Amino acid sequence: MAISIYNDFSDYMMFKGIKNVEVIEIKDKSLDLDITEKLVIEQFGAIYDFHKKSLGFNGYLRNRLNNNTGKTIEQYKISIKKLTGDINNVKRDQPKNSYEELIIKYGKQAKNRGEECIREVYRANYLEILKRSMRRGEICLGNTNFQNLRKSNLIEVVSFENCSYNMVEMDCFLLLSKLKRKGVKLDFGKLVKEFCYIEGLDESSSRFLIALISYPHEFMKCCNRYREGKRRWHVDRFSEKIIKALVQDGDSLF
Amino acid sequence: MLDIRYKDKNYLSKYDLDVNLFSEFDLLVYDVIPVRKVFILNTDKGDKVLKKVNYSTSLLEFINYGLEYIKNNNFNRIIEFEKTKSKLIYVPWKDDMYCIMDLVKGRECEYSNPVDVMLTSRAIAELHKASEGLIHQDAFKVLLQKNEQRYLCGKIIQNYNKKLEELIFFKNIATLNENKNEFDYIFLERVQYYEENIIQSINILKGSEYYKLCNEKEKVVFCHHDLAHHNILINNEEVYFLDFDYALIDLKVHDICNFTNKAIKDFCYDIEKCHDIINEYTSVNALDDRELKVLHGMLSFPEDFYSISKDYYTRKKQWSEEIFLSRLKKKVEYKKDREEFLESFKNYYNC
Repeated sequence: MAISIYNDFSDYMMFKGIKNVEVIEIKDKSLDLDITEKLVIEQFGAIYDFHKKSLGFNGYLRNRLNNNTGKTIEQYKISIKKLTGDINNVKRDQPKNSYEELIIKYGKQAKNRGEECIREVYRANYLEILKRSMRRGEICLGNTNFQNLRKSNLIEVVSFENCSYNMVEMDCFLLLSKLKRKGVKLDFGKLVKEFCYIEGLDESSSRFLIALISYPHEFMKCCNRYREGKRRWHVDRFSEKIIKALVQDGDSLF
Repeated sequence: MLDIRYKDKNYLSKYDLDVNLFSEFDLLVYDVIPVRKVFILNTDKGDKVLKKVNYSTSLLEFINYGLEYIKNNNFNRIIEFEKTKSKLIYVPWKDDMYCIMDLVKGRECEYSNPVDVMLTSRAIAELHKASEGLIHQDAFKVLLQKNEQRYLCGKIIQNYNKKLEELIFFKNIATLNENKNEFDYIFLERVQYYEENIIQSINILKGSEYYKLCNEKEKVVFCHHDLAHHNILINNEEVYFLDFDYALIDLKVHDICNFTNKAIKDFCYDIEKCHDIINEYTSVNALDDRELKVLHGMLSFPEDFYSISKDYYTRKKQWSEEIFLSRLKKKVEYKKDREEFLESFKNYYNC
């Protein structure tokens, strides 16, 4: 039996009928805040069509496809552990600046919320979701923004560079988590259920998604940046960011 | 030629992809695809893997004997060598030696996926079980004599002492260096701590029943010794092991230590991951308290710091200064997480 060899996964997707386009024009640049549930559900349709074509790929690629299965959850767990260490260090040495004072004030609640999200992920049959994803050979697009994916006559994609083996839920998570953090007012519970319905996923996937979307992503991101020192921001900038993060992360959905 | 950069292109360029080589294996090759340090061959007899072997035929026979023994004990998820027309598993070709194996289909193991980690641990236990009794085979004993360096059982303390001496030697090199760079400074700042780690590791092993375990036949197995994620393929929840180039004979906990270190180091030394590994392993292949204590001693050895230092000061790897430096920084950052992990391990397993 001849093996199917592709240079890149994008070649396979184009072979399956996905159209690679230069750009997807968004009519109104401030669209994000005007996004309706209808538009999001239409985007779910595009995601599902992509998944149908990417599912079960078993050819060979000269440029390998990353395997991101479980990475977000592990990264979230690492951030919680590091934040715990930060809180202890700041408490031990006393806060040195306004940012560290904010960590003392808000860090513990972010840590607790993060831990509760991870516990909920595991309660939502995470291991079974992983096994299903592995069995079916699920592959995600990784960038499901309106500027990267669109359904017209064909499915159009600008960039395939974030494609990876992953649970199909993660393509929904990326879209909804960003919209929630941007402050778009949507019924996320309803949208998650809609996505699971379109993809034929069960209740555990809904629970899993709600838990993951509720994780204090922006708060942890800001703490990671401060700790790693990669951004040479003034400490006041970090303080502003952490306050903004509290707003962006909003309330937990469960 | 395809416009794609291969990480291992220098290594791959040393392959001789001669049709006459393939015909020694009675294969008609339609296409070749580079993957890491091997080539996938699309042939008239299915998909195969071509590998240039950099060691002796006696070592290859040692590995092959172990693999055949394991297969005869019903563990088939390992490589299968293609035989040549003269029924050999290799072809000496110019100054090199080539092997061809059946291609195993599957996805590389991903340590961030807990299911992959658990499946792999269980498979390691099965692999070990299938190799029990191998060292008592007369033919294998002969091969072991020829490949003495692959028998590690009972040699760990001696081995760690040697590594400690090496680390001290690297310290002397770094100290004498008149133009010290950032790597030297970080290394010198931390080396004392890791020397103490090695001494601690040796003391744990000395206080264990290590030597007694080495004399118990069911505890000594054929270890893979290089359980990197790319040497483990997973397909339909079945785990396949590749690349037995570094296989050796040692206690079961040798591979568990090797796998655990690799599976947890990028995840803040997550003790839960370690529990999963041990639980899955022991659901197939029991480990007693003495083995867990030896495992604690093995995990206490700072393998990561030792290997990056050795790779740097002996120029074993052709990496740039930046790569060496970033890897050293990453490894020394583990310190606190690693300490907490070892303490939790010790308490949880009553070591």
